[in-house]
Amino acid sequence: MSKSETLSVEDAIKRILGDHVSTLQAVPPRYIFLELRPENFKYDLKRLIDELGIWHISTISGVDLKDSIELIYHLWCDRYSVGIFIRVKLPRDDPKIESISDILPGAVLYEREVYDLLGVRFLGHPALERLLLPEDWPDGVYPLRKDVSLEEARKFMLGKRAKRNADS
Amino acid sequence: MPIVEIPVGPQHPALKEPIRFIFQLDGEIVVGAEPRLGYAHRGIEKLAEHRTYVQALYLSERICGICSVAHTTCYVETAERVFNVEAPPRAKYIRVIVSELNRIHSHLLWLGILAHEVGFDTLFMYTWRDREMVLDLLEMITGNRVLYAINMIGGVRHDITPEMADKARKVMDYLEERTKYYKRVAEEDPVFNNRLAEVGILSPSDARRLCAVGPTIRGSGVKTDIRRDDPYSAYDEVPFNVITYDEGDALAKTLVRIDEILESINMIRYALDHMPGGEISVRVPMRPPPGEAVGRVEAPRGELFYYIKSDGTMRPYRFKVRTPTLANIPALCRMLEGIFVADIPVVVASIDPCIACMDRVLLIDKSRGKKWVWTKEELRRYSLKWYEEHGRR
Amino acid sequence: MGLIAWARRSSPWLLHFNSGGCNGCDIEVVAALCPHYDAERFGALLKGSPRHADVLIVTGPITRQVARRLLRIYEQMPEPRFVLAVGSCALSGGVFQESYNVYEGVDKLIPVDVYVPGCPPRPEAILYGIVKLLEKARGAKNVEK
Repeated sequence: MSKSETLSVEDAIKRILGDHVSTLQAVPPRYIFLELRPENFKYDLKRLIDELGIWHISTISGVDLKDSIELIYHLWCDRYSVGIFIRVKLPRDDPKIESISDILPGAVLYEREVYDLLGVRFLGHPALERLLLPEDWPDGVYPLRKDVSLEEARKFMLGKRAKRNADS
Repeated sequence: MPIVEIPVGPQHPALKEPIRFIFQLDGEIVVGAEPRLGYAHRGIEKLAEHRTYVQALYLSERICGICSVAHTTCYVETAERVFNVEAPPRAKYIRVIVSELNRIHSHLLWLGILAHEVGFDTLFMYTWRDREMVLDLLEMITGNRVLYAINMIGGVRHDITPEMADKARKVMDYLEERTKYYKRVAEEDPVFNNRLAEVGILSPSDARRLCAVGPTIRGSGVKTDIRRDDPYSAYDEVPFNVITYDEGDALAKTLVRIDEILESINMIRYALDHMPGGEISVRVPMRPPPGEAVGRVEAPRGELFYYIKSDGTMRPYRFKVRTPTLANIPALCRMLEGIFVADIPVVVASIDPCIACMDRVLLIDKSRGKKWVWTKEELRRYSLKWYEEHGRR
Repeated sequence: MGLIAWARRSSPWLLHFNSGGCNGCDIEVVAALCPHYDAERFGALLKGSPRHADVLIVTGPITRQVARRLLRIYEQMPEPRFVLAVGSCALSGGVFQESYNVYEGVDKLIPVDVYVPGCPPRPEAILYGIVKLLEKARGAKNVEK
C-alpha cells in the first residue's frame, strides 16, 4: 500500500479516538503502533473496531517491561490493509484489564495464554483458566515474567519422581 | 437422553498446541466441545530469551517440523526488520520457492492423513509416495529432508543452480498431473464425497467472528491470504490466485488445499524462470538496535505470527509466536457442534492440526459412571464401521 | 518360548509416541513405514494400543505434562518391551535443553534400548535402528548401540 493510504488510516484513527491515543507510530509499509490508556480501553477499542470494520485479531502479546506489563493487541484492518497494533500498559503488581472476548470472540484463547504465562487478569472473560502450563504448575509463578529465571522455572518442573529418576 | 462427556486426546501431542477435547454428547450428536491445550508446551518463548538471535532461528525451526520453512521465514523476516537489513532479491525468490515446496509437501501429507481418516489408505500411500519427490527436491536444494535450515538473517544459505531448476521443473510437471488426479478423486470418488461433503460446516460469518485463518477460512469463502494482503519475501512479484470455496464443509477445505498445490506449482515455475541474479545473503551485525517488529507469514495451515522485541543486546528481549492451529481452535470447536461422533476424526483433520492429536480417546458415560479408553485407531475404526452400517445420512 | 521369540523378531509391533516434539521425527517415522522405505519388510507394523506393542518409539523432548503419560504407556506394554528413542530431542532434549518444561532425554524416565540420533534422523537411520533392535531382541551378543 502507498504511503498516502497509511496516512489516511492514521487520520481516521485520530478522528475516531481523539486525544485517547497517546502515541501513534507508523511503521512502513503496513503497520501502525498506537497506545491507549487502560481506563477507557475497551470502549475505545470497540469504537475502533466498529468504525474501521476490523474483524481479525492475530494475537495478544504480553511483554514484561520490568516496571509495567505491556499488552499489544495485534489487529488487522481489511479495509485499509494495515495492521493496527494497540499497546496498553498495566501496573506490574496487579495487572488487570477488561476482556475483549465479547467483541472479538477470536481473542478468547489469546487472553487465556497471556493469563497463563504472564498473570494478567482479564475481567469478564468466560473461562479464564490455565491454557498451556501443566496442571500441577505452582500458582502465582508466571514463566514469561522477567524475574522468573530459567533455572528457577526448571526447579518447579523437576518434581520428586523425576528427580529420583534423574539421580538413579 | 442424558448428556455424556468424552475427553479425547491428548496422546498424540504435535506442534506447540497438542490438544485434548472434552466432548459433550447427546446420543450420537456432539453438543459441545471444549479444548485443553499444553501437552507439548516446551517453553520456547522463554527459552528464546536466553538464546542469541542466531540460536533462536534454530529454535524457531523446531517449533513445527512440517511447516519449518514458514517458521524460519517468519523469524528471519521479523528479525530483518529488527536489524534493519534487507535480504537480496535472489534470496527472496529462493525463500518463495522453498516455502511453496514446503506447502506442497505439507498439503500432500495432510491429504494422506485425511484419506487415512476416511478409510482410503490407497490414497494415503499414493500421496506419501508423491511427497517423497518433493522431499528429494528439497534435499537437493537445502541438503535436508525435513528441517531445512536454509533461511538465515540477511538471506539464504544455499543457491539454486540451473541444473536444480531443471530438475525442479520436471518434478513440477509430474506433480501437476498427480494433483489433478487427486482433485478428480476428491470430487468424484464416493468414499471421499460421502465422508466429507456437508460435514463440519463453518459459515463465513462464524469464520470471521472466530478469526479463523488459512485454508480453514478460505474454505468458507472468505478471501484472505497473508501472501496477498501483507506480502513478504518476493510474494508481491509472483502472481497467484487466492483459492476460495463457498461451501465451508470438509470437502471445500480439501479442495482449497488441492487447488493451492496447483497454484504453488505455478508459482514455483514462475519464480524459477524470473529469479534475479546476484548475491544470496548480506552481512548482518551481531546486535540489533533496540526496537520491535512484527512478522506475518502464510504457513500451509494459515497465518503465522511472530513478534520480536529487542533491547539492543545479542538476545531477544521478547519472542512471541502464534501458530495457525491455535487460531483455528475456536472455529474448530464451532465446527464440532452438531456433528456425529463418527465424524470427529474428519472434522478435526479438516483444519490440518499437524497430525490430529487424538491418538487416544477416553469415553466416560456419566449416567452409568463407566469409563473406557479408546485409541485414535479405534475411534477411526468405529467411525468406518458406523458409516458401513448407517450408510449416507 | 522359541516360537514366541521367533514371532517377535519376525514381526515386531510398534507403538509410536510423540512426547511433545516438533513433528519432524514423526513424519520421518511414518515415512519409514510407507512404501518408499517400507519397514514392513522387517515385519514391523504400527499399532495403536500399548497393550499390543513390543516396541515403543519415542520422538520429541519429554514435556512435563506428557511425562506421566509416557510412564503409564510404558507400564501398560507387555514384557519383554523395547524402547527406541528417535531424534536428538528424545536422546538429550535437543535444542529444548534448559527449558522449564522439558526433561533432557527419554532415558531420564524409562530405559532405552536403541538410540537413533539426528534432527530429524533420516528414514534409513530409523530402519537401521529397528534392525539393530531386532538383533538385540534375538539376543545377539555384539550389538553396538
